[in-house]
Formats: sequence, structure tokens, C-alpha cells
Amino acid sequence: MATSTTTLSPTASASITAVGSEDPSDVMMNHLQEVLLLNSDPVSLLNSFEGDDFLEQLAPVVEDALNSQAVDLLVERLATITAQKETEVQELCNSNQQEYTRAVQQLARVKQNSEQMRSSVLGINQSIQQSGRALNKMLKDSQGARSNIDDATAALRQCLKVLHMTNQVYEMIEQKKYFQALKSLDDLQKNHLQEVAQFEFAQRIRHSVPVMKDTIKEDVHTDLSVWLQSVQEVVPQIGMIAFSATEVRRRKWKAKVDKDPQLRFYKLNSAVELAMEQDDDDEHFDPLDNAHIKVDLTPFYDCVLIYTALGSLDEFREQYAYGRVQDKDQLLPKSIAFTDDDISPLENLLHSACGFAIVERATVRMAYKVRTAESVDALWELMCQRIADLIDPVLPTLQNPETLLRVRTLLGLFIQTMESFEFSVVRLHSFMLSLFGKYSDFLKERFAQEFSQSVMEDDYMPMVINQRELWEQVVNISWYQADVDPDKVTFPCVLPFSQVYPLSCAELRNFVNQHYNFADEFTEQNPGQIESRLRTSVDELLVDVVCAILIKRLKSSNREEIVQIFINLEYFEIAASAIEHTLNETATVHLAEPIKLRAVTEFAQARKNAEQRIFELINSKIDDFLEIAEYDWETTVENSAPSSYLVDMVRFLETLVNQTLVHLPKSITSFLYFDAFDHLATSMLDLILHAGRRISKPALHNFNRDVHYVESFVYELGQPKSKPSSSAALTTVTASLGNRLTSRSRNPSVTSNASSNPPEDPVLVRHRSGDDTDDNSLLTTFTELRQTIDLLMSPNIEEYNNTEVRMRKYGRVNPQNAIALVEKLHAAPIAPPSRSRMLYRGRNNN
Amino acid sequence: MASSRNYDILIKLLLIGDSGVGKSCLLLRFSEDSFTPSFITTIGIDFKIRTIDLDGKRIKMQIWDTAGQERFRTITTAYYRGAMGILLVYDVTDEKSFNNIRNWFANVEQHASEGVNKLLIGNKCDWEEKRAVSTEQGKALANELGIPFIEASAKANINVEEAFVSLARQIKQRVDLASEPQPSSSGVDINNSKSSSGGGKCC
Repeated sequence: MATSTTTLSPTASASITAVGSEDPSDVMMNHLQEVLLLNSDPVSLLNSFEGDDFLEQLAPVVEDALNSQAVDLLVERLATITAQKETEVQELCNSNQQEYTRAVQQLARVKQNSEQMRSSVLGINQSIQQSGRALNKMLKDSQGARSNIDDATAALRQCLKVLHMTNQVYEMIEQKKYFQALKSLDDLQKNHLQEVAQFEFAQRIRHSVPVMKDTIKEDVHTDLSVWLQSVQEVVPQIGMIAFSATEVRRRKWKAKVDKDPQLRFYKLNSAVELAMEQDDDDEHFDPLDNAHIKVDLTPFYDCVLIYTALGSLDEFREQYAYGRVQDKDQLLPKSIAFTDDDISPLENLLHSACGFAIVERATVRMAYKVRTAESVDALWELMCQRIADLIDPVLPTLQNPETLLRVRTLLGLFIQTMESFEFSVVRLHSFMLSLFGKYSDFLKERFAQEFSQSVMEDDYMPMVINQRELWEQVVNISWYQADVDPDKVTFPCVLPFSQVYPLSCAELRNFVNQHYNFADEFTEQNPGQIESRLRTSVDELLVDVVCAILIKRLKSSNREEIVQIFINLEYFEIAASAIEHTLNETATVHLAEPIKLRAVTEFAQARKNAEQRIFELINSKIDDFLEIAEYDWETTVENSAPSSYLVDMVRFLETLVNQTLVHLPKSITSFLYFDAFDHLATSMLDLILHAGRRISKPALHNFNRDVHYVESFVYELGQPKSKPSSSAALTTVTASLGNRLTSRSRNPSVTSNASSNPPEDPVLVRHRSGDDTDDNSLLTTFTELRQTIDLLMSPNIEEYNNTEVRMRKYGRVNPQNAIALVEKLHAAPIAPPSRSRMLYRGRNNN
Repeated sequence: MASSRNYDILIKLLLIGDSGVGKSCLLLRFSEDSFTPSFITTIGIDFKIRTIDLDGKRIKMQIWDTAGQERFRTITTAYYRGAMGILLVYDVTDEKSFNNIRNWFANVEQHASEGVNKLLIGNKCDWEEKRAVSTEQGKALANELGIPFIEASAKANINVEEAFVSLARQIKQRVDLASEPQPSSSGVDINNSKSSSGGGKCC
């Protein structure tokens, strides 16, 4: 059908085109053709011709044909088309006949084939049905197997995971990731192992968990030991750095105190200092982490974590504490040796101790549950004790006080450093105090040596100074108050003391200053201890060294020495008072009672000793002279001159008085003379009392002459001569001597009795009248002797029996002596050759 | 005291010589047998007493020790006359003190009693390394002056006893000799009898 349309259309279009171009009927034809073409299917076209649509379309065509008067043409045309169509259908029917027949034949054949196929399909179906059943069974089987396989796979995965984890734990342990290892182990134990609990290997693993934990513990412990070892190695360095940090702070603080004296009341590490330090120092110094050193505390912290995780913190605490005690023992040597030349061993020791303690403190701060402050403090106390024990025996071997000073500085730095790390330094303070004592002993010893040397080398002469410079130096150092205007001093000038005194003063000042120097910057906890120590030291020095040596020196029989010691002692007493004053002035704490030095009274006492020694010495000289006194009590010859022993003695005493004793204060010399002449008078009285059975008149005369000679000397001595002041001094002192004299006097009541006197002797006039009013009371020492001789020489001896006369003229005469002597005087002059001339006894015996 | 006299003869000796030669030390050694290094200068005059037994007699020796310093010359010279024996002391380590002996000798000649016994002592003879005056020089001077000579050391206790005792012996001999024919009334007399009999020992 399609082909028919195609064959038609070219002709139609050609014809329409030809029409259209010249005729309006052509347009109508074209239109018709189009309608027809639109319904190209002949059947439908036919149908459509019969239908309204077709008609509706055809209608306009017809209408056009009508309008253009081409109906004929249209009918014609339509007839042509119809004829054509009829032929086409005819042809079509003729050709399809054959084909149809052939188709029927073919269909028959197809039917036969399909029959055959149907039976074979049925056969096939049957066989398929049979094989399907087998397959189904197989499928079910494999599905079971597959599920088994899946289960096995899952189990294997679990196992693998456990194994993997286990391996990982080992690896972590190897990589020192102990905490992670422990966590994994826990995880393993709590979760994963449960899941594979049925397997034997899981059991094994489970059994090995505690072993692994132990391994971890051991490894961690080993690591900690290694770490501790490494820390221990740098401990001295830590200490050294901490020391220098303190040193820096100390210098800074000193600078501040210098700037603001108010601050001097506050020591290093006081709240004030710490606050100010924080103010101007924003970055806090960390001794474990600074430019010089870095100490990583992680291993310790790890260890704490691990043991916490293991739940064996208690064990760790004990173990660690024990280990630290051992470390301390290892750190601190059994003994140390440092010398004057080298105190570095001590320095190292203190650095180590300091560094060790700082690390300890850091561990406390990091894990106070593990490292308790209590145990660290206890360990610290042990260390302090040990350090003290170590240093103690070395101190006596040191020869140089400067070394002790260096030890002090070092210890001071140590104390201040440790204090800043909140360690108790009480123990160290007391050690410091004992060090101070040692230092003091040292200085004392050195002083004693130098003092002994000075004492030995002293010339025991008043010091003669030729230059003003030296004079000023000596005066300034000696607490000496010159009684003249310093500007008017002329040179050479004589100072009362000998050179040992200013030398010792210099040493004494030095001694005190060195003590202050030692105590300087020394942060003491009990203020006043240093002061009391210093006071004791100074006092001991003065009493046990200066005073003792001088007293020992008094044993000398050298009068120059003894006299000068006496004078020096007076100045030492002044010096002691001055030092006492200084100590009170410089005391930094309020003293309940002012410091009193024993030395002041000791020197005064020593001066009494010296005084006594001078008495002894002079009296012994007088005895020496008296021992060579020669009296022939029965002589018939009256001498024209005094006995030679007395001439010697008086000359000797004159020299003594004018040369040696002249430097003594008048108070002493008066006392001394009194004592000496009292002794002389008593001894001379003894001479006559111990004369033989008889005393001749010429002998009495000679003796009287001798006594007179001495009296004149005594009188002259008592006279105020060139020095007008002596009289006053003498009177005041003799008054104070009253007690002593009365106790000596055999008849105390008579001292003021003698008033009238025989005019024959000028000395006697003065002598008798002078008891109280006259300035020469020295003569009273001879009163008894004089009265006794007077009595013996009296032309009227019986007047002694007259009480009034006796009281007036012979008041001091001992009645028994009087009787004995008068008897000797009246004894018959029998002169046996062997007894009469004692003087030549030796020769007579010969 | 005087009644219980404990000696037979009293001998007065005098020590002279330059300051620092050791007069006081010699005396201290002789009287107390002790020695202390000392820088003390004797002021004026001092004396010590020691009693010795000599040939059966108790000799009491009063030995005067004089200040060597020039300023005490007047004081010390007064003691020359009473002396029965004079020890002229020099220091073997100090040449000046040796040279001064002539001056001291002249003083003796001038002030001392005639016939007084003399002895030249060279002290500090232990101090060889410092010696400035030889023993021969000492001997030569002693010969020249006609007096005995001895070297001694107070420190080392050499010849101290000998020096004093030998002088005492000479004096005793002189006194004995003088007192034999005519006993004097005033103790020991000092006579003209020159006894230059050598008793000096040299060390």
C-alpha cells in the first residue's frame, strides 16, 4: 500500500504543479491531492470518504472547484483516481493468491514441527525436574558450609585481633610505651580475651598477663633507676646553679639594703625579700629547667602513672623512699677531706646535697602522694646531720681561720638556698653556731699565740713614741684617754703602757671585728645567740688568755716586768670596759640585762695580784738586805756612819722608787711604801728583839743611828717634792688604807695618841706630830720601833711605869718587848769569846 | 734574822757591760738557773743573792746587776766602790759591745776600789753563726787588761756557774789572805793585794 502512494504522488504533484501555475483549478487540485495524501491508506481513505471527516475535508475542495468552475475537472480527476485505484486493487488480489497457498502449506509444516517439539520439550522438562531436585539438596548443603565458614572466619578474626593486640603490647613495652601497653593489656584482659576464651592460646595469653605486667613494672623500674642515675650525675651541677642563683639574689638584696637601710632588718628569704624579689623578677628561677640544665621529670611521672595503673602505688612509694635513702648514702661520702688550700670537696658535697634535695622537692611537688613531704624532710634532716658529722672532724685540722670563714660563706649560701626551697635549716643553724664557736676558738688560739709572742717580746717599758702619726694610731687603737690636749703633745712622748698593750688592743679589735664579720649576713634564727657567743668568747679571751698569761707572767722575779704588767693591767681593764660598752652598743637584740664582762673584774683582781707581787718583790729585797745585816750587840765602838747594808738598801730603794716605781700611780706607790716600810720597821724591831742576851749602849747607839737613817729616808720619800699632787694622793690613799693598817697594828688604839714630842730630833718632831695632821704618815710605820728605841735610850726609863707618860710617849711599845729589851740592856757584860762576836762566827769557827 | 746568820763570807759582785749583752740573763741563770728570752732592760740597778759552798765555806754572793744604758750611768757608778768583784760582760755577737769593754774597764779603774777582782765574760758563745768576736780576740783583750777571761752562754748554760764561782774563789783567796794577819772589824775588807791569779777558763 505504501508503494502505491509513492508511485502516485510524483505524477500527481507534477500534474498539480503544472495546473497551479496557470490556473486556479490547479490550486484546488493540489488541495485535493493533499487530502488524499493525508489519508494515504487506501482502506482508510475509502472509509474516510464515506466518513464525515473525509467529507468535511472534501467539501472545501469541492467548494473551491465550484468556486473556480472546475467541477468537471474535479469529477474527471476523481474518476481517474478511482480507476487507478481499482486497477491497483485488482492487481493486488491476483498476486496474493499464490502466496496465501504457500503460507497454508507452510503452516501445516509448522504445526507438525511444533508437535514434535512439544513432545521433546516435555521430555526435557521431565529430566530437568529430576536434576533440579538434586541441585536443591546440594544448595542447602553448601549454604550450611558457608555459614560455618563465616563463623570460623569471625572467630579467626577475633583470635587474630587478640594476637595482634598481644603483639602490640609487646611492641609497646619494647617502645617503652608502658602506660599504653598496660591499657591495652587491660582491654585485652577485660574484653577481648573473654571472647576467645575457649581457645587454648587465649588461656595462655591470659596467664601471661601478670607476667607482662611484671615485665612492665621491672622495665619501668629499670628505666627509673637509669633516670635516677642520670639525675644523680647532674645533682652537683643543679646545686651549683642553685647556689649561684642564691648568690645573685643575695647580691641584689644587699644592693637594695644599701639603698634603703630600712630593709636591713630583713634577711634573705624573709617575706619582705621574697615579695620584692617576685616583684622585679617575673620569671621564676627553676633550678631544674634553666639555661644551664634541664632535668626531665617525665620518667618519674611515668613511673607514678604505671604504678598507679598497676595499683601498686604503696609498693612504689616504699621502694622509691628506700632507694632515695640509699642514693643519699651514696651521694654523701663516708668522709671528706678538705684543707686550708682547697675546700672544694666541701663545696662539692654541699652542691650535691643541695641538688639532691631540690630534685626531691620537685618530686614531692609532682606527686605528693608518692613522695611525701614528710619523708623528704626526714631524709633532709638525715642529710643535714650527716653533713655536720662529715665536716666536724675536718674542722680541727684546719689551720687558717680564713678557711673557716670560707666554710661559713659556703654554708651560709647553702642554708639560704635550702631555705628558699622550704627546707628546715634549724639543724644547719645550730651547726653554723658551732662553726662560729670553732672559728671563735680558732681566733682565740691565734690571738693567744700572738699575745704570748707579744708578751714575750715586750720590753716592759713605758712606750716611747717619736712621731705624731704613730701616737695618734696608738692612742686611737688603745682606748687611751690622753690627759693632755692632743695638739700639745710633744715628741718623744711617753705613754704609760708598754707596747704589748696597743698591740693587743689592735688584736682585740681585730678579734671582735672578725666575729662580727663572721656573723654578718648570717641568717640566724635565734638572734642574740651570736651576741652571747661573742660575749663569751671575748670574755674568755680576756680572762683565759690575756689575764691568765699576764698573771702567769707575774711569777717572774723581774720587777720591771711586774711593775709594767701592773700598769698594763690597769689599761687592759679600761679596754675590757670599752669592749663591754661596744658589745652593748652593737647588740642587735634588746638585752634584758646589759652585757657584763667578767674580764673587767678579773683584770681588777689581777691588778691586785700584781700589786701583791710588787709588795712581795720589794719586801723580799728588803729581806735580802736584812739577811746581810751585821750587828754586834755588845760592841764598845760607836759607829760614825750607818751600817753599809742600810746604805746599800736605801740607795737601792731610792733608785727603785725614782726609776722603776715612778710610773706607778701614786695610790699604789703610797700603799707600796707603807707596806714596805712597815715590813722594814717590823724586821728591824725583830733584829733587836733577837739580839743576844745583852745589848751594849754603843750597840744601841749604832742601831738608833741606823733606824734614824732609814727614818730620814722615809720622811724624805713622804715629802711632796717635785710633784705637788703626790701629797694629796698620798693622804687620800692612806685614809683608805686605814683598815688594813689597823689590822696589822699590834696596838691599834694608839695610832692617834702621840702628840707631844721631844724637841731634840727634827725628824722625830715631824714623825710624831704627823700622825694625822702632818702629811707624812709614812713615818707612822716606824712609830713602834722608834718608841721602843726611845724608851731604851731614855735616861729615865722608869717613866714607862707612869701610865700617862707611857700612853703619850710609848703607846705603841709592846710591854713584853719593852721588858725583854730593858733586861738585855741591863745585862752584865760578860763576853765569852765564842758568843760575843757573831759577825765573825764563821771565821772564829774556822 | 741576823742572829741566825747562814753564811761565812759575803761577797759583793757587780755586772757591767753594754746594754743587751745579757748581764741580767747571766745573773738569772746563776741565781735561779733559768733562762727566758727577754727584751727587758734593767732599769737602774738590781741585785740577786745566792749562797754557794766554796772550799768548806758558805759564801753569800750579792750580785749587783747594772743597767747598761748610758742614762743610768750615774746610778750604776755609785755601786762600783762597794764591789769586791766586777764582771765585765760583752756579747760575742756584737763587736761594739766588745770594743766598749775598754771604756767599761776605764770606769772600773776610775770608780772601783783598788784591788777589786775582775773577770771578762764573752756571753752568747752558743750563737756561733752570729759570732762577731773570736775567742782569741777575747783572750787577747783579757791579757792586755790583765784580767781572766771566759766565754759563757746564759741561754745554753755554758760556763755561767764557772764564771761566778771562779771570781768568788779569787775574791775569797784575796780576802782570806788579807784577813789572816789582821782581822778587820767591818766584815770583809777590800785590800790592795792584787791577785791576778788566773782562774778563768775559756770555752
